[in-house]
Amino acid sequence: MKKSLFSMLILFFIGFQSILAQGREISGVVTSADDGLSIPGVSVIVKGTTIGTTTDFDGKYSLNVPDGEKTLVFSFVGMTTQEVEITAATLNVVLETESIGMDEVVVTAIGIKRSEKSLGYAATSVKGDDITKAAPTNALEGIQGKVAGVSISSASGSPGASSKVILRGYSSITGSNQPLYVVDGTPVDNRRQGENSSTRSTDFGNNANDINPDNIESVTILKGASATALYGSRAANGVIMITTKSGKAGKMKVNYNGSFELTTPLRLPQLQNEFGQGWSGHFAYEENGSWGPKLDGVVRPWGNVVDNQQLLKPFKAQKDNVKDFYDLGTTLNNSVSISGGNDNSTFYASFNNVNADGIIPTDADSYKRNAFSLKGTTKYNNLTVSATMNYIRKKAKSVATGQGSSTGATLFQELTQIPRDVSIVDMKDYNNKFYNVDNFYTPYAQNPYFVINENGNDYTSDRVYGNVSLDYEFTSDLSATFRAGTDITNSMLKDWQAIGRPKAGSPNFSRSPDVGGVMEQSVHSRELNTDLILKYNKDINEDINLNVLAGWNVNQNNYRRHESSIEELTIPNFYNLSNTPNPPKTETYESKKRLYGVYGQVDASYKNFLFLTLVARNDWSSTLPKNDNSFFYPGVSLGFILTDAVESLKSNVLSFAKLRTSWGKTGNDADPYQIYNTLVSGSAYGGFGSLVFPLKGVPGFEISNQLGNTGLQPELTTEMEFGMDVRFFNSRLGIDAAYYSKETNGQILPVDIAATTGYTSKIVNFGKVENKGIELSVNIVPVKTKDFQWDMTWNYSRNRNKVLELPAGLDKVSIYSAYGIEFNAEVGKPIGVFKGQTFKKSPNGSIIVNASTGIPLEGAKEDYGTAERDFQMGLVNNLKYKNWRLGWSLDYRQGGLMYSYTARLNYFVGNATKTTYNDRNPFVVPNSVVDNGDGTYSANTTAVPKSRINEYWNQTNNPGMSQEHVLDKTYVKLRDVTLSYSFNEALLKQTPFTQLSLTAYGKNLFIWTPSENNFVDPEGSTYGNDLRSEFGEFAGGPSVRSFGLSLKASF
Amino acid sequence: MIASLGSCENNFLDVNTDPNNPPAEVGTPALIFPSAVASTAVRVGGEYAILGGMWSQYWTQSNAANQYKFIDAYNVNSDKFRGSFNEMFSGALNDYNFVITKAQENEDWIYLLMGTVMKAYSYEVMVDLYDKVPYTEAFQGDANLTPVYDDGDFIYRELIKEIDNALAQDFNAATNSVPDKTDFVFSGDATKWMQFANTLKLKFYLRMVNAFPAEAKAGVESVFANGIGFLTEDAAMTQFEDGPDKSNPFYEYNYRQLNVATNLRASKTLMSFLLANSDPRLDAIYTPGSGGQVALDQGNFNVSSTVVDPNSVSVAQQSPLEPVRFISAAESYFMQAEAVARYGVAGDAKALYDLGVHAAFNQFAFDPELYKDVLPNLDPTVLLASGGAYEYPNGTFEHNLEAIITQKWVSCVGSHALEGFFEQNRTGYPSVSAVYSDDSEYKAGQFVYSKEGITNGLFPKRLIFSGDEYSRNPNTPTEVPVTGKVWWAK
Repeated sequence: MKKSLFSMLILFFIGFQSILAQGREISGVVTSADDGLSIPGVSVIVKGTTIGTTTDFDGKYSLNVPDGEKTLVFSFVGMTTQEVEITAATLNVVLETESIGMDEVVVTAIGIKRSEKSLGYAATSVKGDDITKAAPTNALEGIQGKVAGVSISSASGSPGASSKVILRGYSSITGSNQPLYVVDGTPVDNRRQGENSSTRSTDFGNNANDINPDNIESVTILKGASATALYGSRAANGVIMITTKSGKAGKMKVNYNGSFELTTPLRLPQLQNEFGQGWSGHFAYEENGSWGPKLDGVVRPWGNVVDNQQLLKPFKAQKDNVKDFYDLGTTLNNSVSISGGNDNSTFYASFNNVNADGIIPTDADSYKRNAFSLKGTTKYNNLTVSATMNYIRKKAKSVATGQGSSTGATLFQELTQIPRDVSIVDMKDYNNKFYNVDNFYTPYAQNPYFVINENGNDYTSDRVYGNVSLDYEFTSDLSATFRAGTDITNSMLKDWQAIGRPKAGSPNFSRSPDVGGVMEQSVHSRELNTDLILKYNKDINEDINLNVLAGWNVNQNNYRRHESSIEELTIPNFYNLSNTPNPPKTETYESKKRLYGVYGQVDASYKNFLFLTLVARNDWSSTLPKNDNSFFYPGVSLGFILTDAVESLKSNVLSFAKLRTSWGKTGNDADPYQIYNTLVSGSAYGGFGSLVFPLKGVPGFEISNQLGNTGLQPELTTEMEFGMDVRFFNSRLGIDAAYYSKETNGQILPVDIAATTGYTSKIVNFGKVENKGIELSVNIVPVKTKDFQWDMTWNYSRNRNKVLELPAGLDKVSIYSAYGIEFNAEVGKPIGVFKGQTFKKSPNGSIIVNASTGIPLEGAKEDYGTAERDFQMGLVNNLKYKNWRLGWSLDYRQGGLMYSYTARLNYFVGNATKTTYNDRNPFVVPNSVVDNGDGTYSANTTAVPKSRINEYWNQTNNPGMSQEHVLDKTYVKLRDVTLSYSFNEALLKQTPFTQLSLTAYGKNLFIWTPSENNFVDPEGSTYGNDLRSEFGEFAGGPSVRSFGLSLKASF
Repeated sequence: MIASLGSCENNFLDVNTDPNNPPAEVGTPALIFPSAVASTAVRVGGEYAILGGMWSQYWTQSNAANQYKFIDAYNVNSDKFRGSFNEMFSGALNDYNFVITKAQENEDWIYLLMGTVMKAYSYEVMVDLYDKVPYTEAFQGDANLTPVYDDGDFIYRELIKEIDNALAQDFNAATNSVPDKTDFVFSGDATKWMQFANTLKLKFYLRMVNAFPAEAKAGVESVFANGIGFLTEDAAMTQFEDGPDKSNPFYEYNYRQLNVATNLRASKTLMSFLLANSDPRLDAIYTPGSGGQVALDQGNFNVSSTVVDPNSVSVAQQSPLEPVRFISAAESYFMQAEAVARYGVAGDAKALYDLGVHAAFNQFAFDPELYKDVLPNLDPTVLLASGGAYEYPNGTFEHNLEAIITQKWVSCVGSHALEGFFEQNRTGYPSVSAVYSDDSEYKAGQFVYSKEGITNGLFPKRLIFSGDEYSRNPNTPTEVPVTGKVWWAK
C-alpha cells in the first residue's frame, strides 16, 4: 500500500502525459556500479519525449513506452547518464559514478541541491571520505591545502587548537572575517574560546572544529557574494556548508572508524651552540641568556650556592635541550555510527570520542571530546519531517602563551630564556633545592616545569545543536519548508596560577613574586534560526525550466559571559575565588542581536545549457539605527555550457566547457550596541596596573572613550566573478579557473581618534577594502587502467588586497601592535602593514651609530611590508592500485610577513643563531657612519665592544633590530601522506564486515621555511583566528608532526 | 517568535540598548568626578612620577634590569608616554569637562569648583610636559576630530579665568549637592577647595616668573590679597589599599605589576644630599641593599654587575598606600615662601619655609607600619635650627630661592616626583654639577648629566608630542626635541 502511494507521488512528479500514452510496458532495476546497490530516484525518460518515470526505493521502474520509441535515457545526479536501446521488456541498468565531478550535485545556499554544472559561481565540494583520510579531529584540517581560494591554518600544534579559515582574503579590519558555517541548512556558532593578547593567551578551539568529521557527507565552500547572498548578513565572508550523513533505506549499517596517532614537535627554534650562559661576554651563573664566553666544555660550578653546595655542569652546548623537554603526544579518535531505514523513515546515529594529549609533558595540553549525533527523517503523505540533534561535550586544557603577568608565568616565555649549555630535563624536579622558586639559577625567569605543573586551566563545554525541518509538497511544483535550528553552548573555564614567591633572603628574592591567581569564566551562547521557504518548480516548456524560491528568515543570537578573577592567593594551591585578601574582579557581558530577512531566488534554465540565477535579500537588523535598519542586496549569475550549446565542439579532446559569471552584493550589519554613547565602569589604566572602581566604597563611572554612531550603516560587499570549467580528453584533464573582484564598502569599526577630542575611538563606516584574486584548480588523471589510477589536483590562488579609503584625516588604522611593531591598515596597501623602527640612516644610506658605543641609532619608523601572501598552492596526489591507495599532499604558501616574539626573545637572550655574527668579536657595523653634528658624517671606526654585543642584538638598546623580528612567513609543508589497504569484498563475504580498510598516515611530516625564519612555524599564531592572527605569534608553542594508524570498518 | 514578529516588528528589533553599560545621559557629577580624579592620579602619580623621579635624579635605572633605560638616557620619542597622554585627555580632562557642564546646568557650584580645579591642575601638568596642547578646540568629540594646539601661556590664562569663574559662585546656594565621599580630595569641603584653587593659581603665576615676570608678580599679589588663603594640608587622593588595582599607582606600576620590582635604584644625586645632611628621611626614601644605603650614579645602568653588584644598591622605597598629592602642604608653604622672598608679599619667608620642611618630614605618616622604624626620627627641628644644615639662609634672593626649591625638590620624592622635575626646570635648582658624580669634585645633591644620556649633554626639558596625536591629528605641531624648553622654563 505504501509503495503504491509512493508510486502515485512519482506519477505526480512526471505529470499525467505518461499515463495517457499507449505502448508496451518496460521495467527493470537500476543499480550502482560502485556498490551494486539499487538507486532510487533515477530518472527514466523515453528519449526525445517528456514521457518518463523515476525508480522507486528499490531502484525499480516500470514504464509504458509508446510504439516506435527505441531508446531510454537513465539519468541521476552524480552519475553518468546512459542511453539504453530497448531490446527487451526487462532492462536492468548499471550506472557509473561521474568521473570527475562533471555533473556533481552540490548543495547551495538554503540547502538547495543543484547540479554543479548549472552554477554561475564557484562552489567547491569536498567529500567526507576525502576529508577523513588522515583521521583529522576536525574537518577543516582535512581540507587544508586542497581547495583553491581557501586558506586554512591551525593556530598551533596543541590538540584542539583553533582553525583559521579565510575565503578570498580579508575584507574587514576589525570585524569578523570568518565564513559562516551552516550544518544541514542551519547556521551554527563558530565562536572561538580563548584569549588573544600578548600577556596570556589560551586557545580552546573554535566551535566549527567540534563537528565530528566522520559524520560529514560533504562540505561545500561558497565563496562569492552571489552564492551566499541568501544567507544574509553573516555570509559576507563566504559559507562553509556541511551536509551530514543520513541513513539510507535498507539493511542496517554499522560503521566504525578508529585511529591512533603520535605527535612530535615539527618546528622548534634552531639555536646557536657556540656560546654559553652569561651576559655582556662574561660568564654569570644567574643569567637567563647565552651572552657568556665561548663554550669550552670545561666542567664548572654554576647556579646559586645552596646549603654551601653548588651544581656542576660542563660548559658545553646542550643541543637538544629544548627538544628533549617535549614528550610524545597521543591522539585516540574513535567513531561509530549506526544507520538504516525503510521506505518512509531513515535514521543515523553516531558517537565520536577524541582523547588527545599534546607534546608538552603533563596533560597541560589535552583535548577530550564526546560527540553524539542523531538524525532521522520520516514521511507521511506529503509531509516529510526530519530532525538532527547533536550533543558535544568537550574538555580541554590549553598551555597559555604570551609573556605572563604578575599572577604567574607562561611556559614558552620561560623555556626560551634558558642558556644553551643548561639542560632543561634536569630541572624536572622543580622542588629540588637547586631548581625551586627560591634558588632557581636566575631571578629573571622561572623553571618551566614549575609553570606547566603548577599553572593551568580546565575548560569544559556542553553544546547542543540541531534542527527540525518540515517539508510539505502541495503539488509536484510547489512545496514549502519550515526549518528551525538552534545552537546552544554552555562553557566553563577555570584558569589558575600558583604562588611563586621567593623567600626573603633567598637568591631570587629580588624577583617580583608570582602572587598567584584564579579566573573563572562561564559563557552561554545561543543561536536560534528559522526559515520558511516556498519553492516552485516548473517546466515552462520543453526548453525552459523555472525554479523559484522565496523565504523568510528570523535569527536571534544571545551571548552572556560572566568572568571573575582574583590576584594574589592566600592559601597556596587552593584555587577558589575566596582565597585572596583582595576583592575579586567581576565582569559580566551580555548581548542580544536580532535580525529578520526576506529573500528570493529565481533559477531559470534554457535547454540545459544556459542557467540564470537571480537572488535578492532584504534584512532588518536590531544593531542598526532604529529608523534606518533595512538593507537590500541582490545578485545575479549566469552559467553557459558551451559544449552543450554547440554540441559539435565536443570531441575526443574537449569533453566539456563551461563559462560562468556572476555579480552580487552581500550586506553585513553591525555588532550590537555601537549606536549610542555610554558610560563605562570606572577604571583608570595606568600603563601597568589600574585603579578600578569601586574604591573605598565609592562607585565610579566614566564617559566611554568610544563615540557611538547614530548614523551607522551596514557594510556592503560587491563582488564580480568570472570563471570557466574546461575538461579535456574524456575528463582526464580538467581546469577550473576563477577571477573575482570584490569591494567592501562602509566598514564598521572603531577608529582611533586623537584623545584631545575627549575620546580615543569612534565607531565609523569607512571607506573601502578591495580583494581581487584568481583561483585555479587543475585535475589530471595521468594514468587510468583497470587496476591502477593516478589522480592529481593542483590548486593555486592569489589574492590582492588593498585598502582604498580610510576615514577622513587618517592615513592608517591600527590593527595591533607589540614591542614597537605596528600592524596597520594603510591606504593603497594590503590590510596588515608592518611598521617598525629602523636604523637611523645618513642621506646616502649609511647607518648612523652612537659614536661611543658603535651601536646604530634609532631611525624613523618605516613600513617593513605586509602580511599578505603572494600566493598559495596545493598539490594533492592519489594513487590507486587494486586495493591499495597512496595519497600525499603539499601545501605551499609564499610570501607575507609575520611578527615573532619568539625570535625577539631568542635575540634578547643570545640563543638566536645570527647572534654568533663575527664569532661575537668586536665589529664595526658595516657601512656605518657617525653624525658630526654639522650635517656631515664621517666613517665610523667604533667597534661594538664585546661587552655590548648583546645590546647590539637587543631591540631595547638597538631599536632598528625590530626588523629581525618580522619574518618572511613562506612555507612548504608535506601536509599528509596516507597509505591504505581495503580488503576485497569477496574476501569479506565470509566475515561480518562489508567494508574493511586500514590506513597508515602521517601529517605535517615536513616543513621548509626560508633561512631567515629558523624560529617558528609560520602557520601558527597566538592571536586567534581572524585578522589579528596575521600579526604573528607571541611566545607561542611549536607545531607538531604526527604519525598514525586508522581502521575503517562497516558491517 | 514568528507570531511576535508579525504583530510588532519594531519591538522585536528594539533590543539594541546596551545592557552592559549605562547610557551616557544618566551621568552625574557624583558618578563621573571620582573616576576622573582617579585618572589624573593614576598617571600623574604613576607613570609620570617615574619619569619625573628619574629626571629629578631621585632614582636611576638598575644595572640589573632594563625597564626605564630610555627615560634615564633621555631617549624618549613620540612613541613614549602615549598612554598617559591619552588617559589624561580622554580619561581625566574630558570627564572633568562633563562634570563642569553638568554642574553648571544644575547650578551645583561645589562640583563646578571641584571639576574646574582638577581640570586646571590636570591641564597644567600636560602644558608643563608638552608646552602646547589643544584647549580651545578640545573635547568636542565628533564636532572636531582634529583640534588645534594652543600655546601654553594662553591655556594658563584661560584656566585662571575658569578658576575665577568657579570661585565666584555661591557655595551655600540650595542647588549645591553634598559630594561627601565622592570627593576623594576634601569630601566636598568648599573652603578647602577654594584654598586648593587659590594655591593652584599661585602655582600658575610662579610658573610665569621667567616668561611673564610682570604678570606673575601681579598675579601673585592678587592671590595673596584675595583673602581665600592657601592649602595647609595635602590636596591629595588617599583612597588606596594594598591590593591589585586598588593601590597607589606608582607602587602598582613599578612594584606590583612589573616582573622586576627593583628597577628604580637610589641615585647618587639625592642620596648624597641626604647623607651629606644626615637627613633621617634617607631610610624612608630608600630600602638599603646588601651594602647598606648605597647609590648608583645617575644613568650608570650599563655598569657591569661585576663592578657594581646590583644587590648592593638601595632600591626606591614604595608603599601601596602612598597618597597621590596634587599639591602637597609642603609645596604650598614653599610656594608661599618663594612668593614672599621673590615679590615681598606679606608674610614671613623663613616661617613658611620651616613649615614647608616640617610638612615634608611629616609626609611619611600614611604608612605607619612600613615606616615604623623611621617615623620617630623624622623631625627637622635640629636641621632647621640656627647652624643646622637646613637653616633658612635669609640671604640674597637667589640663596633663599635655592634653599626653598632644594627642600621642595626633596619633598617631591615618590608619587609627587614630576613636580620636582618641573621646578628644577623652572628655577635651575638643584644646580647642575660641572663634573659627574663619581668625581671627587662632585658636590652632594647637584644634578649630573646621565651617564648614558643621548642628548649631547643637554638635559631633558619636556616630552615629545605623542605619536598617537601625530597619527590621528594633523594639527599636532612639528616635533620639538626633548631638550627644547617649555614656555616657562629657565
